[in-house]
Amino acid sequence: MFANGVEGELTIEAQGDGTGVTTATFPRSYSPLLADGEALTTPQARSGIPVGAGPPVSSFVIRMIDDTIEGTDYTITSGGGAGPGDDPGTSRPGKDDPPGKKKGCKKGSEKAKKKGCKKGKKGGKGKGKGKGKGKNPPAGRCATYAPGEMGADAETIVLTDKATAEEPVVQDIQLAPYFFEGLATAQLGSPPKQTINVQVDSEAASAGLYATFAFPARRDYDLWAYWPSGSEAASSHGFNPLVEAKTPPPAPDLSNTRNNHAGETKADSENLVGVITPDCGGYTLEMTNYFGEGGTLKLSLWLGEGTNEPKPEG
Amino acid sequence: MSKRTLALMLAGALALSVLGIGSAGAQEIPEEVSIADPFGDANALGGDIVTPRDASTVGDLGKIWFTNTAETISVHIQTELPPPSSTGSIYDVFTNQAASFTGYTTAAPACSRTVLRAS
Repeated sequence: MFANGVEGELTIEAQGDGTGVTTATFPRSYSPLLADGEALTTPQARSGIPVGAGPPVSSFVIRMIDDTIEGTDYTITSGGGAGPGDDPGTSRPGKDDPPGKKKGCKKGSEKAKKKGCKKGKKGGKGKGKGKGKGKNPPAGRCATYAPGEMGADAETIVLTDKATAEEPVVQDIQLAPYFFEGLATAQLGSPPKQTINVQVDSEAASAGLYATFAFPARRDYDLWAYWPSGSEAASSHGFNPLVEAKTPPPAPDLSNTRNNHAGETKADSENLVGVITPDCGGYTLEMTNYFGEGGTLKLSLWLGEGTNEPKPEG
Repeated sequence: MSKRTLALMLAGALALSVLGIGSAGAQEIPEEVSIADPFGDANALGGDIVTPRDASTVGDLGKIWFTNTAETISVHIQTELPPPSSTGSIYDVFTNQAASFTGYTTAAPACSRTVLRAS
């Protein structure tokens, strides 16, 4: 895990005001990027605790405790460095941004949005291929969707080809606050969830279903798509606080994303990606809050190119 | 290894009693620091969002700053309370927007690490 690193020295000092200062010191010879004149830019920090019964270390799960917004740069100099020139309490980038809109997250959101648009363009091509085959009746002629027990009392949204990445159908999702990760449900209650049904009504024989369930970054929400039988069709259910960690195999699946099916977990959203769905077919979508403030969240739905087969109905 | 992908990663492994962590000599905190996070927001919700659910003191980040000499570079992390020897804690400081993950630490000395990594 630390194959590319260099070990340093750690000290912890108690301050007169009761706080502690942990200091880690490393040799600058480790990297030319620590030479005079180099800058440590946009620093950001987080803290966590290991949860588990290890060692071995691979058995631990990290639970994040705190993190920060991006701070100001530090330039390394032989004279001892040049710190930030501004008061970090009043002028740091993103300091005054509202929750969920801080600098780093905003960039991520924009990136996600652009990516979605790209998918939408692909979807347009796919839709075009579907047209002219003449196998399907015009959109709007599907029989009423018949959900299973899970979606029996839920609203049904009918998605036509008019719903694109650029202009998706946006549905409000109401979830209660919850911060317990589904632990000790007898004492703390079960994670809040909401279900809706989604039916594809396309001019093509099939279409790719796209869904983005958005929330403030680094909470933990899940998005699942179920067949009427109740079996999984697709899912995006990562541990969002750690999805940016990038821990490819053989490292442990800390972000719990490897068994997403046709799903993509991001720090601030769970996504279904091009789930190939026959015309008039559909799913019951379930959104769950495992760690977050809840409230009114947005679920965006659109049709595009089908890129991922759903799991077979069980 | 590009400048943009340099990550300064600190996994603060806090087996204090075993590792002989530096004693209680108070450290001067500079007026200007790189990060100033408020106390009372150890809620895993990110950024400066403060909620009544403040879950930790040793994990509650405060001011963070860098110093260097001709030979070394240091990162200093203030927390609401000094981390104890009884439980493990992890502190990560990233720079240049790299999004790498930290190491694991526990109170067990064999698992403790203090690591700087460029990726």
